[in-house]
Amino acid sequence: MNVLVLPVLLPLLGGSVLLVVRRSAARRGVATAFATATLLASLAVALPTFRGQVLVAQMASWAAPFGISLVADGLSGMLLLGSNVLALLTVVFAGSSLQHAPVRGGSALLNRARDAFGAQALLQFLFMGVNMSFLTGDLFNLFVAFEVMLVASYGLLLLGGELPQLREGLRYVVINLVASSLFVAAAGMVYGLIGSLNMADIAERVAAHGADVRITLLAALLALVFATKAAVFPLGFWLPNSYPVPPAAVSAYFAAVLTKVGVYALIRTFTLMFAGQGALVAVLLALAGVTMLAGALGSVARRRWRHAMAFANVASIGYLVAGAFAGTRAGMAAALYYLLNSVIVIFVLFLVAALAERIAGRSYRRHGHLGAYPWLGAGFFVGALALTGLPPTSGFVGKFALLQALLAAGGPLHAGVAVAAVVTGLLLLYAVMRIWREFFWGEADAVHRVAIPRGMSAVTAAAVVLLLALALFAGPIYRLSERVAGQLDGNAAYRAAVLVPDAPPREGAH
Amino acid sequence: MRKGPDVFFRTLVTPIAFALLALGFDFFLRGHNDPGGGFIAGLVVAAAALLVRMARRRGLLRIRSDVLMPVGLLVALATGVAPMLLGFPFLTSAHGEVALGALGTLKWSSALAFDLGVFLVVVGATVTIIDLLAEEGGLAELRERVTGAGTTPEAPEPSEVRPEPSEGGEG
Repeated sequence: MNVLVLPVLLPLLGGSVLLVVRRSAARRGVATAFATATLLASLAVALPTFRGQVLVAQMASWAAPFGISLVADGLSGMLLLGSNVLALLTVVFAGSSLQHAPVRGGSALLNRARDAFGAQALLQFLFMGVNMSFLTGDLFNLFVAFEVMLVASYGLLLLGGELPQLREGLRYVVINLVASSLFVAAAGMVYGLIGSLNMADIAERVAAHGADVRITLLAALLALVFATKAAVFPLGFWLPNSYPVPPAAVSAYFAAVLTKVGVYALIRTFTLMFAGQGALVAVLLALAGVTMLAGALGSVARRRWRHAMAFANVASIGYLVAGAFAGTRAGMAAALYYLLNSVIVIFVLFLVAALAERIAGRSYRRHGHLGAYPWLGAGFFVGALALTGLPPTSGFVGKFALLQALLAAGGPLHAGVAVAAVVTGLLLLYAVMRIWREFFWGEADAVHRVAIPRGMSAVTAAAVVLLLALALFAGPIYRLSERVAGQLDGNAAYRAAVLVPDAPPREGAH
Repeated sequence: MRKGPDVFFRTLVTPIAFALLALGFDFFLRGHNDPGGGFIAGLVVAAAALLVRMARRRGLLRIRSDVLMPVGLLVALATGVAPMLLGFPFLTSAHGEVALGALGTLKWSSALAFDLGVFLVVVGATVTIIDLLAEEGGLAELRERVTGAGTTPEAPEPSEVRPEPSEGGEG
């Protein structure tokens, strides 16, 4: 099962090669080639998992609870495929945008410096960390994957060294260092109490251990770490100001994928490792409701493109967590479908925001751009419908299923979160309608046409097409989400695949 | 011009640097079973490079240190990938012994090549950082070299860009 390691290895190789490539055009080509190869590798991993298989690779031939396992079940497959499609689009978009002057800062020299100082290499290392997070079956290795991802993201956030970057970058680094210290401490305590770091083995041992308040505390500590990464209220205060700071492609990928890695880790923690923590799940569900409202209110309040979109991202995190922790299989299926929708819709909206910033600056209060840029308006319209959850978009399918699952689960907490979801939808609708009214609609007072680089508009169009495809193929994709949700319920296949009884301890190689 | 380094320091640096290099080599080899390994050895060698730079005002290495990072990464990566080509999982390592007659036996392990990669990355990164900090204006020089800023003198410096007003002051 060596194919499992390729989505981690290819970006590492790509990043290393990109560090020695001196010409900017060659860097673009190499980065695109590696992102394409990684996408093909993740397709090879994802397709068998969609048929219900669980792929396992034991690193360095050490058998399961002792070595590091890479595992791909349906959840890993879905996220791996989705994130690598966006990775390819990000690389192409970044390649195009780094040749031109940034929106802020004026001169093309700044973006040339970003390119020369390894923006593309850092992106590859970021993809490596993200792919490793989705594939690893080991708690400590998950920490390593998070660190790879974070160190690359620090670099990308700060590259260029402008004042807002340094100001927000400092906060981002400090928050993430605190969360990482808690994570590594929690991993140490899990090993101390349970005696294993392999996720499947932890699941077995926790089940055998029985109820223990220390296990609940450990699960709470891990939830705190992952909720910080996922920007769940009240731990998400760092996100809306820091994600709009880096260059457009980077901030789109950050917003679309990095927070979802936190959600993925939360799902793994509470379905696999620490299943049956009812009280903590209820707390997370309640926080999810608050997260939605906080994100939607922030989105209404902000006047800048990417700041408003970053808050919309927080709201969509709320929906995801609400579905994943509704406690039912239907809720999980809805959350998984909504996850794909949210990843792509946030990406689309950030790219549209990036193009709009290029046209008219960072605030969206510039009237009458629809006439001059009808296709940009169309892209925003599709993204806005999918974000708010209006038919006929994929957002509608996801939110409808989510509300249905929440109401079917019963109980006042679920009902309350469902009400919050509806109110959030209306607030988001207000937020995007206002952007529509203030940027696209109205009388054109001195709209000057700006040439948008072809690579950037092509990538944005491709992302919109992906979003439409998600709605068009909602049937098969939703059935896939239901199957994956069934797999996550109990995780029997995952555990059986990782922990093969009586496996030879170390085969071959000697 | 500042006063040069102390003559005692300048004289002593050579033996100290050699001692550090030997220590680094020892750490590198014994890391398989004892505390040590590529990372520690890399830091010790980088310390030797720092001493030489302080005493002589020039680098220890005659090659560009920033190239060592990708080269080291590729060496480590190749060590992991090589067993995959033979059909074993990623990072599987082999080890064995070679009889050297009167010299006894030599134990070898393929994990040493991985450690060599780590060593190169650590030395490359640390020496590059030290060199950039040590040269006055080293960072600006590097920026000019990689961006070709000399060809566009009319372009404003990125650091002189007017700071953005904060978000709160707007709405």
